[in-house]
Amino acid sequence: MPYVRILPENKIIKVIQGKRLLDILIENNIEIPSYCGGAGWCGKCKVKILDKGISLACQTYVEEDLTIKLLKEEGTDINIQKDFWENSNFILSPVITLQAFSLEIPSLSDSRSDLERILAIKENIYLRDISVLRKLPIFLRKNNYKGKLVLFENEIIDVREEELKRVYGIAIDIGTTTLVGHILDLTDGSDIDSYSTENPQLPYGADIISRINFIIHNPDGLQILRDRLIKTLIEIIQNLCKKNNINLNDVYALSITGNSVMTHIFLGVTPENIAFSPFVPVFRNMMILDSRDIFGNLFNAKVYVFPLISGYVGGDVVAGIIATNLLNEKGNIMLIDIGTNGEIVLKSKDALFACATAAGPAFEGSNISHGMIAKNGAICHVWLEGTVKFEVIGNMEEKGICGSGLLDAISVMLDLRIIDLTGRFIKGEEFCLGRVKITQKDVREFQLAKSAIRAGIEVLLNEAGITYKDIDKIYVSGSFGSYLNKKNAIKTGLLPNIPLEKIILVGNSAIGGAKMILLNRFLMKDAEKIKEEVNYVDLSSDKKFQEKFIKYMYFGEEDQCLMKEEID
Amino acid sequence: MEILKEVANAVISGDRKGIQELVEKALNEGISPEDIINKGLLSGMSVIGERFKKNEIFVPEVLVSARAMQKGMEILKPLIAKSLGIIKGKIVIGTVKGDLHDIGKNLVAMMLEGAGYQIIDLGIDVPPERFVQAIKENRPDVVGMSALLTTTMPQMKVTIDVIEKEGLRDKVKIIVGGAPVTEEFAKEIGADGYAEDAYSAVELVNRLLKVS
Repeated sequence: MPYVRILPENKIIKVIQGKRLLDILIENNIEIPSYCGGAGWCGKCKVKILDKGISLACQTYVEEDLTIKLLKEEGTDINIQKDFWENSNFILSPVITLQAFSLEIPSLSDSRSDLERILAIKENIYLRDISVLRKLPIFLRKNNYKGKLVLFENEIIDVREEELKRVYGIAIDIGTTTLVGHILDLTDGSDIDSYSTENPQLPYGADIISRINFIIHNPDGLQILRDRLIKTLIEIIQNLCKKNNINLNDVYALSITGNSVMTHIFLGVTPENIAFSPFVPVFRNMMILDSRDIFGNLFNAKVYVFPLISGYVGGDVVAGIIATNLLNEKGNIMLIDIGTNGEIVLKSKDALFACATAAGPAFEGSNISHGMIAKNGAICHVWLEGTVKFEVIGNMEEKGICGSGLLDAISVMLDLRIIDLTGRFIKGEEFCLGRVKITQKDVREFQLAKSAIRAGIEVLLNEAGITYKDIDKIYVSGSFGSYLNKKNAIKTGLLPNIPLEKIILVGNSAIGGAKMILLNRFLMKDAEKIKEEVNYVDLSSDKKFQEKFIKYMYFGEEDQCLMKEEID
Repeated sequence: MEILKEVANAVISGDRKGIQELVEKALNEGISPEDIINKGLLSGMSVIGERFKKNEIFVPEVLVSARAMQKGMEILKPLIAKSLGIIKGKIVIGTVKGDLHDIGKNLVAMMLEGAGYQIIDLGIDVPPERFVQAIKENRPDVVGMSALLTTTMPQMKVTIDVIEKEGLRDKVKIIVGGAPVTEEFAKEIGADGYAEDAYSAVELVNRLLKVS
């Protein structure tokens, strides 16, 4: 296994051959900016590779020993950011702006009202929030009619003292399993810090259906789930501020993304009808709210909630489409988000298609004997190197296996002919990785999950009238997005057989989109456009999906045989 | 008889093309359609059922075999239409309202058909009224309900209640199944039986109708 030496810290990390540099840096807590979540177009994660020059960490796969130098440490931060804006046409145009003002002091000859004076500062600005109006007379007189307006687009959401230099935004991804928050400086676009924690609704079920079930069967169910969520979100927000010495009052924007059920619960709207055919959500539109309506008087920010595409394709997918720039990219491009559900988006010509597969939570560890989510103690990689080797997240004793580990393990079992191409054990009855065991039932669960995703991919390709050979790029995001072994994904049939360089791992694309929308206000319109333009393909009633679901259940050649069966 | 073994093997290997020739060959040899079904097609299918239960094979093999069996049935059914003795019982089956999951239910239907039962498949997203209507029209021995979601499971109880209200409850045996369904749940909602997989469903129906 090759080594990566990181300067200037002089940290040396042993890595798996072929692993992406960006993921290596992130896993080892080495600060590296990545706005597009590793999609390869923001240009933020530049590193200097000794003897080779500047390269993007997200597009670098470690094949041999490397020495890299982090550019950020050289005090070139500003330059990189400048490069970033120039290279990717990404213009910093945050949703929150500061407008300095110095007003004429009233006199008998100029007795305009306080508000008229304020509204004359800039064209088209307006005030809606009565608490700002209440604050105005005292503020103006105390500060000698000087200060800064805090604007959300054209709305005055606060008046602040002249000295205020920086305002902040927080992006949050409400995952079924994990909550992630990032705090950003909206004046220079920097991603200051992040914090993630388990979704506090987990005790009420691993997947969205069991959460809905809880809501249906408990009169206070929705309230209980929502209260837990809001409480934890407040913890995340407070933690991000405290850790970075940021005053909560300087946070003026929040962007919230999540699947449709999580978004419903966040807003206190019942998601129950999403569980039944015809799967109708209560709303799909984006929402812009006042933080006080949700978080109480903790702070005063605008909360942007991503629009939803359907009951099963939510704001996290819209955010993912934004992060990967799918709307503007040319060619046939796929975005596959593998989490508790597997959502798939295909951009082909100018059309966007999306579907959701109930891949089941197998990739998140549920239904697998020793399954767990990708966190400390999880086997995340398995490979053959003379004998069977495996890597555990956090470099500790193995506690279980996560999705990427299971994928690798199945692939190794195929290589060793422990299971045959139908997935049946032909040697022994279980496969052991230290204390972690994989049983026949686990292999079957994996087969169901991978086949659901693959069948979804094929249905969308069909809808667009193309085949896998026409695919120019596949972005893989979600819990798999950082650890997935591409070769094994193809070998097990999870992904179609396309050249490896066309598969790009992007980590959590939902949080990427949520961050970007805080920094580029034009993206809000893009999000609405995405909501309107995506053709949602419902798989649950799709006969072709069912056929394909059966067809892709096996590994390798076997599914070719079944394919013939389907044709005649 | 060698040819019947070959028919059974064609079902087991899912050979849809081969089965057509073999069934015709068997008929030409003068074997009765009933024997071809019972000792050929159905005996092949019961091997598949057992292997599936033992986890030796997976859903695709079962479906491929079931399709081969159905191909054979298509040829033989018209020939035995008059002698109804072959049918062990009538079963109305469907996935409950709000639930669109098809595969598990289809598997059970195919296995039951393979075991010699006549199947009236109501499809997916079936409201209680459709079950009631089907009972009135077909007078089945058994009604089978499937649900894959914890949220749609309660529809089984709703359906049973409607069947009861219509005064049809004692006319049929009701069986339930699907990933989240359990033995206890089946008892709780007043079903007559629960099976955890497609093969067990056949055993369950055999037991309930006291046939073998």
